[in-house]
Parts: sequence; C-alpha cells; structure tokens
Amino acid sequence: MMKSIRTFLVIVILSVICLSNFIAALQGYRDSLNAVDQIEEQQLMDKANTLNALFVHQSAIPKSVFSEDTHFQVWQNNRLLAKSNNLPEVLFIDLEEGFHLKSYGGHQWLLYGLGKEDAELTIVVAAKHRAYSSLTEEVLIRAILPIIWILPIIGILVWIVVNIGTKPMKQLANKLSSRGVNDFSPLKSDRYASELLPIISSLNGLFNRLSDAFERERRFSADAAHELRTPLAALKVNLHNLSKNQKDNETCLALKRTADRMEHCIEQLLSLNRVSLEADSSELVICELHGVAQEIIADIYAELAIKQQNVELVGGEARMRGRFSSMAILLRNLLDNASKYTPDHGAIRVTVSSTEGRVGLLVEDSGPGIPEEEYSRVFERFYRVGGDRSNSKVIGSGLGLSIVSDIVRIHEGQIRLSSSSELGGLAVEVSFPSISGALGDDAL
Amino acid sequence: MLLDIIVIVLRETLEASILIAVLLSVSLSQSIKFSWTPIALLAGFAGAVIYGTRLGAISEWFDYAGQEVVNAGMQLLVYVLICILIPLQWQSRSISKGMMRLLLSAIVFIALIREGGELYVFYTGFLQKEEVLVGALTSGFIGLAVGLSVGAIVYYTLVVREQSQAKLLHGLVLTLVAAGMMVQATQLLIQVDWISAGEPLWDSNWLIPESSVVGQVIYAIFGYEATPSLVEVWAYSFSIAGVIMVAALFSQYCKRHSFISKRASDV
Repeated sequence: MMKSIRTFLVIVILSVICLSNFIAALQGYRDSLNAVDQIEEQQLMDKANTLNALFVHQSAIPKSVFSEDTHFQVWQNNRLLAKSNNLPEVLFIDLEEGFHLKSYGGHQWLLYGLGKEDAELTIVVAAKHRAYSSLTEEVLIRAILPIIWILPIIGILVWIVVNIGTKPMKQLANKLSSRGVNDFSPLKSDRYASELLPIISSLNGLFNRLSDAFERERRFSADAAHELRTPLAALKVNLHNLSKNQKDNETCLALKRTADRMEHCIEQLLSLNRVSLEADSSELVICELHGVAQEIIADIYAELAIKQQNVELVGGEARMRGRFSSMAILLRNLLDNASKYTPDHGAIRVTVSSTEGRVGLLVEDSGPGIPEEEYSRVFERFYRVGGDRSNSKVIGSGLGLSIVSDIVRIHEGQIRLSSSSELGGLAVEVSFPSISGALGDDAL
Repeated sequence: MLLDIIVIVLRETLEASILIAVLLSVSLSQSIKFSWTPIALLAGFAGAVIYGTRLGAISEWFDYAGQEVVNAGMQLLVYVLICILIPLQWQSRSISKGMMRLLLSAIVFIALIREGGELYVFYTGFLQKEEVLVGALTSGFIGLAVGLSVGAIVYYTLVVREQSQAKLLHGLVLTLVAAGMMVQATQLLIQVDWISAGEPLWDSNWLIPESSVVGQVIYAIFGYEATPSLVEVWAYSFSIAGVIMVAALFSQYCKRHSFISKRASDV
C-alpha cells in the first residue's frame, strides 16, 4: 500500500524519464561506436586495396606518397618489401585475410590483412583501434550533461504537474470536510474529473443510504416519543385519580414513580430529536448565555426550592452564535443533573464567563460527583453511573449528558468534566467560540 | 571507457537498490516505519568508505586473496540474513518490530559496505586524473540514476500489490537476490582459486549479453551469468534450496510452537 500518490507519481515519472533518456543515450553511444568501427574498417580495406594495386604495378613506391597516419607492411614471398616507419620489421599478424586486433606499443591496433599466405603480395594495414572513441565519448558527455542538469527542473515541473493533477482530489476532500454534520445531499458529478466519478458515485450512494438511515432513526424516535406521550398522559391522570382514594398505597406510589421516570425518558428522547432536527435545519442566531441561564434557573426554581438547594448565578454577558432552544436544553439538562445529584440544602453554582475568543459556562454542585474513570462514559447514550440499579434513587434516563455533548459538538464547542474545588461535587465546563459585535434583534 | 564505468557503477548500484527496494517494501508490509533506513544507509556509506580505505591492506590477507575472500564472506552473510528474513516476513508475529528493524538494517549495512567499498576505490582512482574525472562522474551518474530508477520502479511494483501477493513477491525476489549473491561469492572464490571452475556449461551471450542493461538487471536480480560453470549452477541451485529449506523448517517450528502455546494456555 503506497503512502502518497503524489510521491509515487513524481518518483515513478522521474525514474521512467531517467531510464528512457539514459538508456537511449547509451544505445546511441553504442551505435556511434559501431558506426566508427565500420568507418575504420572501411578505411583500412580501402588503404589495403590501394597499396595492393600500387605494388602490383610498381614494385618501388616513394614513402612520401603515404601520410603519417598510414601504417602498413608489404610482404612478398615472406620478404618485407616495404613498410611505414612506425611498424616493426617482423610480420605483424598471421597472414590470414581479414581484420585482427593486436596490442603493440601501448595501443590496441586494428589490422587488416589482404592476400593469403600463398599469394605473391601480402598487405597489412593498421590503425589505432577506436582512435576516435574519445571524440565519441566527448560527444556523449556533451549530450548527456544537459539532461543531468535539467533533471532537477524536470523533477520540479513533474511535482507541479502532479500537484495540479491531484488538485480535484484535494478540492473533493475540502468539500467533504466543510459539509454540515447532517448534510447528505449528493455531490454534483459534472464538477469533477472523470477519474473521480467512481468515488463520487460511491460517496453519493453512501450519502443516500446514510440519509435514509438517519431519517428512519429520527422518525422512529420522534414517532415513538409522541405515541408514548399520549397514553402516558392518560396513565398519569388515571394514577392521579386512583391515588386520591388510596393515598398511602405503596403500589400506587411505585406506579407513579415509574410513570414519572418514563415521562422523563420520553422528554429526553424528544430533546435529543429536537437537537438533531435543529442542527439540520435552523439558522444560528446570537445567544446570550447569561440571559439563557437566568431563564432556565427561573424555570426550575420551584424544583430547587422543594429540595431547599441554593442556586447562584455568577458572571456577566457572554454572547455566542448558536440555537437558543439548544442552549436552553443544554442548560436545563446540566441544572437538572446538578439538582438531582445534589443533596437537600446543597449548593449549585452557574458561572458564565467571556474571555477573548471563547464564552464559557461552568455548572458546579455539592453532590457526590463522578469517579474520574467514568468521565468518558457518561456521554454515552443511556449510560448511568452505577447502572440502572444505581443506589442514587434518582429518576434518570442516561440521556442528559449525551444530549449536552451533542449540542456542544454541533456548536463546535468543548466540554470537560472535573471535580469542583469549591463545592466538592461535579464541575461541568462548556465553552464555545464567542462573537464580537452588538447583540442582534433575533437574540435573547 | 564510459561504457565500462557505466557498467561497473550500474552493477553495484542495481544490486543494492533492488535489495533496498525489496527491504523497504517488506518494512512497509510489516508496518515498520522507515526510520531505520537513513541510519542503515549512513552507517553503510561510512562502512563502505572505511572498507574502501583499508582495501589495500585487506587484499594482502589470505595470500593476496583477501579482497575476494572478504567480499565472498559478506555475500554469504547477506545470504544467511536473507534466509532468516524470508520466513520471518511471513510469520511476523514471531519476532518483535525492533528485531525486524535490526535485521533489515544489518542487511542494508553489509550490502552497502560490499557494493560501496568497491565504488569508493574505483572513484578515488579517478580523482587523480582530472582529464577523465568529468567523464567518469557523468558515467557514474548515469549508472547510479539507472540503478536507482530500477530500484524505485521495483519498490512501487511491490507496494501497489495486495499484502499477500506482495509477501509472496518479496520471498521470490529475495530468494533470487540471495541466490545471485551466492553465485557472486562462488565467482570470487573461483577467481582466487579457492574453488576450481571447470568449463562453462553454456554461453547465452547471444541471447542476453551480460554487459547489456538487461543483462545487468537480471544479473542483479537473478545473478545471471552468460557462461556459468557447473560449480556456479550448483551454488545457485543449492542457495535456492537452502532458502526453501530454512523457510519450511521455520514454518514447522512456528506451527509446533503455536500448538504448544495453545495447549499450555488451554491447560
């Protein structure tokens, strides 16, 4: 499995360019050497034939006729008839007609013998073998050096071209990463290169399936919650009527507690559903967290008063971009949670803060808190610390913190659990990106 | 001259780059990061320079057969390490990643000393002759570029394969490279008369000339020899048989070991 398509393309393209260029240059060099060899051989044959013709018709030829580059021996019946100055007086080669290679005087010589042993005249012509090879090598080096110098430029060009070529992939990745969490709309295939169409088609298929599954899940939770609400309301009325006549009946009280728990669970399911729906559809508005906290505290004040819990709101104005109803659900859940697990006469503190770039919300209580190892699990749906058989005797569905976590995620915020240093219970710290500017008309 | 330099550099570079390409692919398939590679390469180059500078003294060992014998020894060592590596890359769970990294590094290190040492000596000779230095460096660059390009193509040919197919190819290429190294070791020992060669069994120069680029590539991969003697053919065959035997024995050992561990855990 290759790690990078871009590196793969650059290296393989450069390798192929190197291989093809250098192998072609080598082949050219070999062909040039062969051509030079053929010229050398042809020249030797011509010289030998010329000498033969001269000596057949004239036994003594003045040496001035031959240039310095002509090396020859002329033998007649094993007697040296004539020779050039630079060759020895011994027979240079066995008298066999054709070409021979021989080392002499520190050089490799190419020799051509004309006339067999029994012939009247035997001509031996010699030339330094591959005397022009240094010239051929010079030509090759001059041809190859520009290729070597230009290789880094080719590398950079290939890199740029590959980058341009892979740009549609980068664009597709950017497009996918900038999508909303619930955006399952299909990608338009006419905007992408044909090589990416199979991926686009597979992605669209996946989006389609995800959208269907998401829709089914949303419809199911909404339908289920609504369908359960109506009979539950009827059940609660009947229970209320029944308990009027049998005030101390234990079964009746247990039934009431179960009905309350069921109602809470249904309400939480509806909240979860509403949060997902809003993330998909509703627009973000400017929310002022301190005002939202005031409103929610006022809403649940009666419940806090029953337990004689002391609630405190600290901090000032803190504006963020979000959905008001989601923020209300978030605060409601955090305060409900704090109230549920804080004993009677306990304390709850809500701190709203605004620093540069972030707005923060801290909800602390004087309850028993949560063991640190449970921090990551409490955000799972239907998870309750200590399980369903928890000794807390607190009505709960295990959805509260899961809903809070969903809202934080949708609003690109952060959530952190810790132990409150002042109150001793759980401290839930939530932060969101803040906004600058005046409060809009649509804000709280 | 140019052609001779290209062939010499190409021979050494091709062999090393193909071996390193296969080892990198093995590393990738075992999910071992390439952090071992620069260390092994640097150590190998340093080792090659040291070996190259000491080569004169080494040559005098074993009655002036030192260079050939030491080179043959290094080839044999690489062969043994490859024999260990081949079954381990199939049974990767039987060895830690650290040990695997060490094994891969050791192969690269020894192979670079062997190939690089000779190139070092070859090129230090040219440093004295300025008139041919440009030609020698250009030819060397061509040999190096062709060698590295073939290595890169071998690497990517292996890494684009499916995991199981890649492992099979690693085994195959490593076996052939290891057998090729043993043939080279045999040739070195023949050169110094430690082994008697005998007559060549055939001459396939007419089909693939040994000095051609194709000849050099298959020399580096398969240890191609156009005129092999009987000893070389035996060395090649026994080397392949050796790799297969070690792999089979290791596989048997792993099966038995996992069976014993399973029984022990059942008890």
